[in-house]
Amino acid sequence: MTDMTSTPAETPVPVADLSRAPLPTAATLRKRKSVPIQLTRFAVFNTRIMRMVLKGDH
Amino acid sequence: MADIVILGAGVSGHTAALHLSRLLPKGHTVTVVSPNSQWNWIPSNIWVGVGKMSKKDVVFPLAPVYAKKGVQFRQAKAVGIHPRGDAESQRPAVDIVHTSPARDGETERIRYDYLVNATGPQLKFQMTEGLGPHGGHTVSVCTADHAIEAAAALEASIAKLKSGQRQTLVVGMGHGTCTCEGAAFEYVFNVDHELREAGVRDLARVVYLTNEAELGDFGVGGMTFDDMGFETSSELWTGSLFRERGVEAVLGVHVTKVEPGVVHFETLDGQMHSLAFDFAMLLPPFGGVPLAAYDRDGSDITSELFAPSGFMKVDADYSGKPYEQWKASDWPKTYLAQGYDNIWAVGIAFAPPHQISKPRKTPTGTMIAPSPPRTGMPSGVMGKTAALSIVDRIKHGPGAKAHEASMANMGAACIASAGAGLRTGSAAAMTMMPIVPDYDRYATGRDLKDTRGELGLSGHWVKLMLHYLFIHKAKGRLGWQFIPE
Repeated sequence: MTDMTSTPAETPVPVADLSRAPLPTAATLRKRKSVPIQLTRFAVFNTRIMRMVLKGDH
Repeated sequence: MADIVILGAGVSGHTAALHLSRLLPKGHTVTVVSPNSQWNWIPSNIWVGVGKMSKKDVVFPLAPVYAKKGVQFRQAKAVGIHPRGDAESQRPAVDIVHTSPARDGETERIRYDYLVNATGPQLKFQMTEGLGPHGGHTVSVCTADHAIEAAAALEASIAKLKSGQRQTLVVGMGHGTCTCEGAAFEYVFNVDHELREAGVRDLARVVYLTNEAELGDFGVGGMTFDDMGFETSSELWTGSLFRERGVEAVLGVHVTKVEPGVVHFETLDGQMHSLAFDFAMLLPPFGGVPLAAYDRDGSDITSELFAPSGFMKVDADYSGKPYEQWKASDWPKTYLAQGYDNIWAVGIAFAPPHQISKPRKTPTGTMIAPSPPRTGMPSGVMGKTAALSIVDRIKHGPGAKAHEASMANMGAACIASAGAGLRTGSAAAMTMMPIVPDYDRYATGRDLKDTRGELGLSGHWVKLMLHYLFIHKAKGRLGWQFIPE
């Protein structure tokens, strides 16, 4: 699904309709910046990379 | 004693050179041929492209590193391969043309026993009229110098926004067959961040113009994530980020022409469109670097070694079967060139057997098909794999089994990080395992345990960490070999 948005000087461009994409809640936005939570995510992300390295053809 | 020649000093070629210098006994020669005198950590060019890093932060001279490691270095471009030797000798050889100021234009023929083709991409801006920084009307972040120009153009746009002038900033892919959508995604994320930091986001229209048929495709056919016990798609995940940031996405695009301030493009429905812009960073399509191959008698055998795209044919299935019939097992494992047991093609230099994303055509016959990405982590792994195979063959004889590293059994991380500093940045971080989906092994094509997407400050820390770790590794400093590719 697309909607057509443009400024008068342009040929209309088919911009993707993202109105059904979920928006983060205020709590989710806070978590993305929370240092303690993000330190945990940092450890988890690096562990995942190392797991991929160990089990794949790396 | 064996002579090994490596064409290219990007992630894959440089990784191969470092491991060969580490693992081979004295007496063997390793020669790297690269037209560039400097190594570039390309993922961080994105930060150069928004003025957050300078060129010196992302490049360093290759010659001192190779001198320390006992690797010979030719600043030159390879132009020809003689895989069966020539009229003078049965030993294979490569022809190079020097590019250093001291020897510019000088030609040389180097004999080899083992060859690693890691030549990387040719940036084919010329495939779209008006595209690119060399006489075109758009900027790029493909090289550090390109990124410096991009940062200056972005700064000029931000200055106009600060004076109250509205601006349209377009980021994306300059052709229907481009690859590296992840880089454009990261750059648009950075542009949005810079505009917000400058306090001018409300005056700017930011448009992401991509050849992907769906957001979150990234040239790998998208991903399925496990999110709180539910399967969700990278399309929804990416769409959420775009909606949150107010970035407009135009999908299934083939850019046909760029004029000053206007980009013209066709979409998958065959319609033609034009979009006026004040700033545009559009990536070029990639091709193989111009490299010919010759038989002993001098006859041209380029088509024997290379696909029409200019990429080298390796141990993959190039039978050209329909997209719906391809299998993960079609992808190369050893990267040995077809018909040769002493030539490897790694990184972008090898010809992928097929697209991972579904290739599509417009009603007018225009191909819009994201090409498979094979930069970053997989490039380094392939370089190391070729090096290990060469070392085994030198130590244990030519019958030694070649090492394997299929992209269908290899993971990768893609981190789109914006901002600077440890508290102010943010990132969209993805991991996928494997890169090439394997539907025989996994219902969703990939291992849900390791295929994840998350947003937050931690991804930014990972990206910063990788920047310093990989430059440390590329400089061959203490403990470099323990840093995984």
